[in-house]
Amino acid sequence: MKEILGYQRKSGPPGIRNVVASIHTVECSSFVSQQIAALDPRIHALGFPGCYSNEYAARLMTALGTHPNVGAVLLVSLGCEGTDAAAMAEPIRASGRPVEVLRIQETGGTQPTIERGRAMVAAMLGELDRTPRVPLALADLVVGTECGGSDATSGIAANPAVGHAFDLLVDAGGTAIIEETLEMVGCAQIVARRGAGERVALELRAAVEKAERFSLQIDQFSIAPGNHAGGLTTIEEKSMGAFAKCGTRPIQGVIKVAQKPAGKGLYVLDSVPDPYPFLFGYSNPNDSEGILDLISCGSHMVVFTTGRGSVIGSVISPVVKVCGNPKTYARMSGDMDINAGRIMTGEAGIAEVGREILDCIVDVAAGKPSKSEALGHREYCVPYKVQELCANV
Amino acid sequence: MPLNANALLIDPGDNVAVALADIAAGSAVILSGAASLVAGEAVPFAHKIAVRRIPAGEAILKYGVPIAFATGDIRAGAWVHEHNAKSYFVAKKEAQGA
Repeated sequence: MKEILGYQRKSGPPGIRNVVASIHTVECSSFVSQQIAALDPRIHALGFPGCYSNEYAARLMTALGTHPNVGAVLLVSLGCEGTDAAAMAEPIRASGRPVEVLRIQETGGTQPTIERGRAMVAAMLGELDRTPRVPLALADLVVGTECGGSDATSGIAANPAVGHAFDLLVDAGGTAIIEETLEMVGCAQIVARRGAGERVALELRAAVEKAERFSLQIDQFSIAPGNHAGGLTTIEEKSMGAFAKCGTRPIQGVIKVAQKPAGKGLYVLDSVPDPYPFLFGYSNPNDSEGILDLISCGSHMVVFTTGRGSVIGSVISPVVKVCGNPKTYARMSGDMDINAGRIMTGEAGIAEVGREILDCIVDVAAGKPSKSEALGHREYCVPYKVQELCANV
Repeated sequence: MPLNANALLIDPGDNVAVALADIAAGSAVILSGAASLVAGEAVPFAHKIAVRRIPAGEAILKYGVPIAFATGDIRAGAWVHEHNAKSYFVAKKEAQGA
C-alpha cells in the first residue's frame, strides 16, 4: 500500500489535509471571511448564515473547527449575531489548535478586518508548515459515503461497488459512515438485523422508524411511478439500492451530526431532524449539507456516488466521485474519480471496481487531490436544525 | 467478468439478476461468461429476472436481502416486477389497516 503521511494534531486523530478554517458566524461576516480566505488556497471559508443562534449549527461548526484535517481556525463575527464566537473558540483552543476571533464591528469594518484577518491566517499558515507528519494505515481513516443525482445505475453499479470498498476498509480496521436513514425507509428490519448486538439493533430500528415518520410528514413515502418504470418493484428495493453503499459488515452504532464514532467499523449517521416541537423541519436540503454532516463526524474524505452526474466537492475534506452511468462518465469524466459504469457495460465486476475505489481512497489520503478538490470545489451548507445527540456514543 | 454479460447478480445469494441491457424474450441471459438461462419474456434494462424458480410466498432476494415476496410461482427466466412480487413493508401496512 502507498504510504500515507498524515498531519499530527496536539489532540485527537491525525488529518490527511492541513487547512485553516475561516468560519463566519453569520451571513453578514461571510464576505469578509471569504476575502481573508482568498489569501491562500489552504484557507477554507465556511460558516452559518443565521442571525438567531442554533445549538445544532454551533455544534456542527465547532466539530468542523476541531476536524482532523483542520490545523487552525479564524472565527469571523459581525458582533451582534446570536452565535457566540468566543464560546465557539474555547473547545477549538482546548484541542491545541491556534484560534483567533475577529469582530467586524470592533475591528472597524471591512478593510481593517480583512487586513488583520490576513495577518492572522498568514501566521497560522506558518505554524501549519511545521505540523509533524505521521504514517497512517487504513485503520486510521474515517470515510463517509453519500449519493446524489442518482439514476437506475446507482443501485446496480456505483453503490454496490462503494459497499465492497467499505467492506475492505472495515476489514482493514478502518471506520466507515453511511449518511441518511431516509434511505432506509421500509428496511427497518433488514437494517436492524445488521446491528452488532441488541442495543445497536434497537437504535437502528428507532432511527429508521423516525425517518419513516418524517417521510410520511413530507409525503415522500412511497416509490414513484418513475421508479417502477425504472425497474424498482418495492420501497425495500429502492432503499437497499442506496443502503448498498455501506457494504455488508455489522453496524457498530448510530451517531448524530457532529458526533464522532465511538470506535472502528461501520456507523450509521442519523441526520434527520428530531420532531421538535411539533414538526421535524427540513432534513438535508441538498447534497452538500449531507456531505458536511459526514465531515462533522470526523470523515477524512467522502465517497459520493452519482448516475445523472454531479460536480460538487466540499470544504475541509476531499470528495471522491464514483459514477455508475457509463454515458454520464463519458460526458463528465473531468469531474469523476471512478468509472463504475464499467459494471453496467459488463467490462468489470463489483469487486474489481470496489478495489479500485479503495485504492483511490488511499491515493487521496496520501495527498493526491480528488477531481473536485483539484477543480477547486468548496461547497458547504449549514442549515437551522434541531437534533439531540445520541446518549450511547 | 466478460464483455458480453447482459445481467448482473449483485449478491451471490440473490435469486434475481439485474438486466444490464434490454433482454429480448428467448435470448440468453449471460451472468458470468456462459449463458446461464434463457429469458422467458422480455426484461427491460435495470429490471429483474429470476435466475431460479421462486415459489409463491418466497422471498425475492436482491443485495442478499428480501426486497419483496413472490405473489405467485415465478419460473427461472421470468421478469420479476409488480405483477408477481409485493413489498413486505406495504403488505404489513395493509394488514395493520394503514
